[in-house]
Amino acid sequence: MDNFITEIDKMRKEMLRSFILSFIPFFAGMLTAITIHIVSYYYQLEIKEYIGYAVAVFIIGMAISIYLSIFWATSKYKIYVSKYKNEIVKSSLESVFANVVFEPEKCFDKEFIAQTFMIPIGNVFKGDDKVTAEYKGVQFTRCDLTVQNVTSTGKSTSVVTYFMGQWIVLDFHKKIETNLQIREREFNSAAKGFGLFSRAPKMEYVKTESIDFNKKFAVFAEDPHSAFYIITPHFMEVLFKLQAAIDGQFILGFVGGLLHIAIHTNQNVFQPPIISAVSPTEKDKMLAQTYIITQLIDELNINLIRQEK
Amino acid sequence: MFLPGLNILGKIGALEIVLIVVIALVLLVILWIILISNSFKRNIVKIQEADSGIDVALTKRYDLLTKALDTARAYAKHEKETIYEVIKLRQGMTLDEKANAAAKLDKMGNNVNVLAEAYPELRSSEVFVSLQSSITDSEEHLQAARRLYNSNVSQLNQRLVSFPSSVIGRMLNLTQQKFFEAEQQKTQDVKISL
Repeated sequence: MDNFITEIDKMRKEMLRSFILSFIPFFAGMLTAITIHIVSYYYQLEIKEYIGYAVAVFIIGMAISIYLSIFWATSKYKIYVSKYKNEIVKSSLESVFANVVFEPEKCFDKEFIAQTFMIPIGNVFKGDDKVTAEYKGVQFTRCDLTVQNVTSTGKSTSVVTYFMGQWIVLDFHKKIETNLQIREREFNSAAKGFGLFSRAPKMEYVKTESIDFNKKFAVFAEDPHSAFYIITPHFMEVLFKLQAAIDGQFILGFVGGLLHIAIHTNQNVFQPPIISAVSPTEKDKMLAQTYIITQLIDELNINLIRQEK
Repeated sequence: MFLPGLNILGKIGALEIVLIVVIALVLLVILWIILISNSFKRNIVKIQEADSGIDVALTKRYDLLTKALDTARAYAKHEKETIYEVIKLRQGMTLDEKANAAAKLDKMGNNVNVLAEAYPELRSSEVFVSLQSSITDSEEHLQAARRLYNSNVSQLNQRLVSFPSSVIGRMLNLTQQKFFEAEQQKTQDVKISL
């Protein structure tokens, strides 16, 4: 494994080197243009004659840099990222999960996420690193998702990030026919309002019997009975543990018989390091991101209940 | 810009202003009373809905348990001891009667499990295994119905003891409701016939 890590880290260094080298023609061109200008000024030469040369050198240098960065450095970057994801990420996942299908370029559809009404859907929707796998017989799918709203007034551009993190979907052992959301109160970007003109299903706020749980989480349900059916005291304990373990905020949504877990961490978890070295602990970092899935399934004994059925 | 209505204000005396303010306050109080009494009524309806939910859950659990026992009959033919089913579910049961019935159903559920332990071939029956899973699910639904009922009752009771909503509660002759508590073996053992 160490040789393998060293090999990938070499690719990373080559990729960095290629980006740095790509900029050399640009700086060389700029330096040459400045030198021409200084020399012509010092020797009191006719600037109009030489400014053309200076501009030409600068443009040529910039064009070469752009060409190198697009066709050389970027291709090195893509090869490095692909190698990292297919080798390190996939092998890490395969050490814990079964039947792993890793599609680095894919993610959930925008409409699939929108119909959960868990987060606002802005005008920028991008995702990658879709993983479909099984853990103890329970199938799940996850991907890294970024949802933003970019508005431009001409003078300025504003970017609001509604969500950036992991989105996990799994088949929960308890089925309910109505929608239910459990939101961590600190998740400020959660979709607001199930009002009169909203397309969202009409959900009401449900207060559980646990004061601590109500302080940390807000529950919205179309049918309060379903909320109490899902949110048992044991389930509350599991959510407390997850909240303590996750470096971010999350929302759980029960939609169409599936459990959606949106974990907002402001990071794309399976991205390889660029500046820092690829270390032997990369696998541990990958596995730490899948903790929530294994914890949920283990703590709630989803696989055991499924077998009984 | 001249607004004709504003001219009237100049002609209103202090007494009239006081009268207007008093009327506005009275209207606000009346509106508040209406809002609070409506919310009490909604609370009552929610409690009734939750109560109905308990009935549904109890009935479902009862039906599943009797089906499980019917399945068990086929395997326990040689059993000589006869025990009788004494659980009666009916419309309009009080909360205590429901709690009593729930406790009996718990005992019935335990007896089903005991039978499953005694007859391995019963345990391997697909129908019986499916029923056991459904029974577990129905227990969870009953717990959910109980917790929802208690949550609604708790909200009502809190409002009935807190000022100023307690004033409206007394006007409407509302009293605190009892919680649905799981009874602990108050009754005789449930008898099951095989």
